[in-house]
Amino acid sequence: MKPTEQEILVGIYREAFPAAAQLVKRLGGSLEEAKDVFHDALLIYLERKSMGTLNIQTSVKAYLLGITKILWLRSRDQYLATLPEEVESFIEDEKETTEEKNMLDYLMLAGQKCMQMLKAFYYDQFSLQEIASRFGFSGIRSATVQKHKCLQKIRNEVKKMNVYEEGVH
Amino acid sequence: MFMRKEFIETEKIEDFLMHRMDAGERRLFEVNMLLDPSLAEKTEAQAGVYKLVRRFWRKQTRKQLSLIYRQLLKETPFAQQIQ
Repeated sequence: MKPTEQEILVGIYREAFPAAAQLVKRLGGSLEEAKDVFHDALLIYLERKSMGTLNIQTSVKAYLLGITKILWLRSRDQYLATLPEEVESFIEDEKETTEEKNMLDYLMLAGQKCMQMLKAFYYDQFSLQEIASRFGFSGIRSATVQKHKCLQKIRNEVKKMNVYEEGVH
Repeated sequence: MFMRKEFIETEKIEDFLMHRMDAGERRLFEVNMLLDPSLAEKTEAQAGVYKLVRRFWRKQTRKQLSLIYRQLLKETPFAQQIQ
């Protein structure tokens, strides 16, 4: 039987984290700090994978260790080279303003189903058929319409709150 | 009522933001944004939606990773390796 995404993730964690923990410890960090920085590396990996923009030249474990090391050194101001693009955009994205935090908190109350659905579509890579059955829509067409409506609904909330004032890049 | 025109517009904005347009389509979309400020405004807000969904995904995934960590700590070889 094919392993599930969760099983694959647990396998990657089991294989890569001990080496990441040793690495961060050697560089002066604690186990707890190693875990946090390793989770960030995994987020970068998973995000890139789901977006189809992952560029791995070696193994997943080597990639995660490389990113963990860069993130750790960067957090200590000891990484002086140019950051890889995925690390730089991740760090930039992590800077959350109070308005953004409030907006997400609000949406978790007022638009949770939409947020869950959009997350499932863009990140968990569920097909529209899976989304339809998971979220109780009659079929693919209905799921497509709902996805569109959710995008519009949240977009209107973002406009109302005026959270993002910068131009589109 | 489901509006087809709006649907197409939302999809086009998504294609633009997700870099799924070729150079010509991209330029045309950018010109359209200049001519139609409401399109520019919608595009900006829709970019905000993707950012919020990304933040939401990260929050949820961090929780999932913490659960995996706690689960793996129960495995003796794993727990020994990280000491």
